[in-house]
Amino acid sequence: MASATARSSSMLEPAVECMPRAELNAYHDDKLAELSGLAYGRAPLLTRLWDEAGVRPADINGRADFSARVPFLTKDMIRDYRSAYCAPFGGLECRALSALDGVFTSSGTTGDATFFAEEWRDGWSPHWLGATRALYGAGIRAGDYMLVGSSGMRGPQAHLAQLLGAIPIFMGLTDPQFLEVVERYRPAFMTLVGFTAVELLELSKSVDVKQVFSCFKVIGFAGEPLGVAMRERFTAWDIELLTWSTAGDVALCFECLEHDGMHMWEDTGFFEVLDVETGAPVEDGGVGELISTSLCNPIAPLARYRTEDLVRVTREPCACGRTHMRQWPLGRLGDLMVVRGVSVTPSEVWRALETVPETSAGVFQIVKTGTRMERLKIRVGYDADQATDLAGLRARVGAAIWARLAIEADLELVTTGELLASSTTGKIQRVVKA
Amino acid sequence: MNLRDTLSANLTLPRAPLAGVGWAELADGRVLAPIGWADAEADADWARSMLAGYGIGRGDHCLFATTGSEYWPLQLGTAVTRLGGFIGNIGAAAHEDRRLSVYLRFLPPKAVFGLTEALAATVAGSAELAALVAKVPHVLALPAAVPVLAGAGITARAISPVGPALALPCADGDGSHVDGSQFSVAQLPGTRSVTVSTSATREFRLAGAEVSTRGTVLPGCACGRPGPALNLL
Repeated sequence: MASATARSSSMLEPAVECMPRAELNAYHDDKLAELSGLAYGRAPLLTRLWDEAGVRPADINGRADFSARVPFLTKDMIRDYRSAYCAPFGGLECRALSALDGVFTSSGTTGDATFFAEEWRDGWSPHWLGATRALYGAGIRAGDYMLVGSSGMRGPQAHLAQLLGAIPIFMGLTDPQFLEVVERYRPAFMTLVGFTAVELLELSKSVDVKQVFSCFKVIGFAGEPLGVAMRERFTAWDIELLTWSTAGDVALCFECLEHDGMHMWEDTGFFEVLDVETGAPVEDGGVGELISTSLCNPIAPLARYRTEDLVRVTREPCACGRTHMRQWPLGRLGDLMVVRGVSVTPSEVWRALETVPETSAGVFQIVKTGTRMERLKIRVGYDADQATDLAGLRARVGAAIWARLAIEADLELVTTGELLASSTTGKIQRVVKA
Repeated sequence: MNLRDTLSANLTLPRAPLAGVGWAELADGRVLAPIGWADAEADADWARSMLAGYGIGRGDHCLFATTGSEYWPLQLGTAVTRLGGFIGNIGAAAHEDRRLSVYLRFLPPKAVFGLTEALAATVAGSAELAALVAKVPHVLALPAAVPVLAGAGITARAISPVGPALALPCADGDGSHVDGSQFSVAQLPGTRSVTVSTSATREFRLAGAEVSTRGTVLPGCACGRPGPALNLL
């Protein structure tokens, strides 16, 4: 990678990115009151929920009122409303379709994909606009080349490059001419997702990854948490990853070069973290469910949306100087399960599989039959080039699971290629129904 | 705050010398094709005039099936938004049927662009999905997908990159048009091979290069638009 000292760590919007907490609080007080006035009476589902809860916009004067009085919104409520009324945005719509520039979707991992409506600003997608702070902070500059072919799911990623003065190259890692393009243009940024990280592992068998990727200032990684072993591989390849994710489906959040949590831009959203059992606010550092509210989406805003994301957050300023909240995603609420009294999460299974060379890419699925299960069934992807003795591999994987969880697992061994090919969403679905 | 100032901050940054780097599929392989800002403007303007012929306007949804590694969806998407419409996006793979279905059921598009052969086969294999696609007023598919869709009773017209250019059917004629102000096309005698030349103003230049897309150059199109037109089927 390009050396850190050669990069600038300056900020695109220092006054916003380093805004003192008191000013962010005051901003949220204003924006939440404004959102209440915007959504109530326009967004049919929100209006109905608020009516049922006896809430009126005049009741909302800031964060305290909002958190105490506004009812939760769930993905199921949105889907149910959409199906019942054939309302594309599930009763969140505040504007007519004529206001729209783009409508993109979630991955649809857990059911019908839901829509994200966008009104572009002077022709630029706000989704990618929100990512420019992070990439500018990571040193991406005018004239740099960026590979933008990883996905079109959230609209034109070329906007991200063009907004930064960089040049988009329309291709991704799996393109047959990837190596040729990297050699010719020496790009500074691209994004990998879980799938393409595994592809990179394959690539490392035939090329010197460290040399090929030496031109990249940073590489984005998104889609799901990265396993420990894979992260160590990237470090060995001298690749600096900038992990990014969704901030409660209202915006994007990115790591900065401190790599100490992902910054959630609080001018674009209001975020709460609540105890899963009690619903009480969780102090910084505690684990809870992320609840998100859009502050920059006048088309179809989410208000107190239960993301089902388990996170840890802090509002302490980062060493980089930015003050906005940082999150560490820990998994999905629905991924929690108990097997013979033992709590099991995909990340625990992942850590176990990483200790076995043939399964260290972390390609697996837990087959879930209920929240409480008697048996743990795991579909495990293995590297066909490395595995010669499947019976022996099964025994070693079983031992690794036992060492980590003290559970005997039913293992279905398939090649990583087969397991990846079974995805219908572009993500490795870690927990699947039986 | 709230992304408004973010855009202002971005617009103060130096602009890149190129709008992007795309691809040109030539008969002897794929080559990188840099796109200048003036190229991108000309491409979007031409697409805008073509799509206006479909009556695409405020509030109209245009859905794109793309791999994410192509330039033409950006060209057409820019045109759609400039006409007041909005874009949706799905992948080009066969398994994108789920997302396609969600769009078709809840946000019926006025036009679908870029259905691939693989995705068309999935559509043809599902009576429910085929019925939904059949309701879309304008289905523009890659040439290999057109007969697959026809087999399911869906009328589609052919859209395709032709080297660095895009061949886009008009709404009311019978050809797939190429922007004559930027490109010229010719037929290699006695074959379905097509050559493309670029205007001298384009960042990426070709002179009579044979492209991988095959078709027949038409003497004209019933719509009367200027510039070359192709039959890609």
